Amino acid sequence: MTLGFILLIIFLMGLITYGVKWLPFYTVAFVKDNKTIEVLGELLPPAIMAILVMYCLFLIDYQKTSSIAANYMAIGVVVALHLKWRNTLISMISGLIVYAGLLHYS
Amino acid sequence: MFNRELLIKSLHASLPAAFGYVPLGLAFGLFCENELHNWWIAPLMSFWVYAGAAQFAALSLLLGGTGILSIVLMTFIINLRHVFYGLPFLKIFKGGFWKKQYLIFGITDESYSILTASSHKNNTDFCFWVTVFTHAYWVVGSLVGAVIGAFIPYDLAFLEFSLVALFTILAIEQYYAVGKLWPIIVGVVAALIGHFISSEHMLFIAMAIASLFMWGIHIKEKHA
Repeated sequence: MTLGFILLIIFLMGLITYGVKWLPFYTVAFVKDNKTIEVLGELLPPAIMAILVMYCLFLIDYQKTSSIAANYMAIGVVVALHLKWRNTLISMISGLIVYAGLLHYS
Repeated sequence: MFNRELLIKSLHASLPAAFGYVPLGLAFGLFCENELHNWWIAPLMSFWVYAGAAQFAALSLLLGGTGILSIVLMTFIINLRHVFYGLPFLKIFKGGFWKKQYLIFGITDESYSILTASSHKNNTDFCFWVTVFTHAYWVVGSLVGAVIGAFIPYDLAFLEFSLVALFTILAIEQYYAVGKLWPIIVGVVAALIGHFISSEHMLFIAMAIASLFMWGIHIKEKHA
């Protein structure tokens, strides 16, 4: 992973994000009343988030069994806390503490 | 445009975004510095891309060694919802060419909700300053996080979990926003299928399966 590659990624991501926001200002007819984009724009983000969680879990080093267990337990804590209080900071920090603790004491 | 009263009004209106962007930006900067070991990458990315979830996702994709096409597709899909954010501002975002482009660039979940809820939303300069302040919270948060990360002499390996936690939290938030659980299940199943077809291209395959499935559902409902 070279610095040039990272910079290229950043450059492209900026263009794409801007391009999506730019569309309605210059192609109103295309965006307005386009039910397909509206439905996909609503339904895809939750699916993508789930895919990203799975992606992170698949990245775990399977040589270290402790790390797998720590991941799943900490995710359980995050889900439970977030369903209860719905406070991103509380859920995130508690999850990190549980994860770090499990790694340290296993 | 540099009216003192207007600046104060805009700053005041933008403050709720600071509570979200500063801590999240800090986390992004800290994590980015810890993994890529370049303090300026996080603030540069926050300045140029300015998209929270997509930035975190790109970081995890970079670490997993995913190809450029997956990152591009992921950025597009995550940010697709922004297509509609401009609609209330078609006649309001005006002024010089660059000012208009910056206003368009600066629409995010947060600034959209702040501006559409404000009684000053018809004032282009008000929108401009709210955008500038909101953008600044995100960039400064990332910068401070990255600098703190550069000075902490420990390997903060446990921070890798912050990505898993963030995506989990965002999935739950999406569930509340959409009010449906099944899109999340579609994502999980698509990820599993992608992983078994090719763990190397899992992300691309999973996103394609999920997109096609949602599209199919939409076509079916339209003809029902």
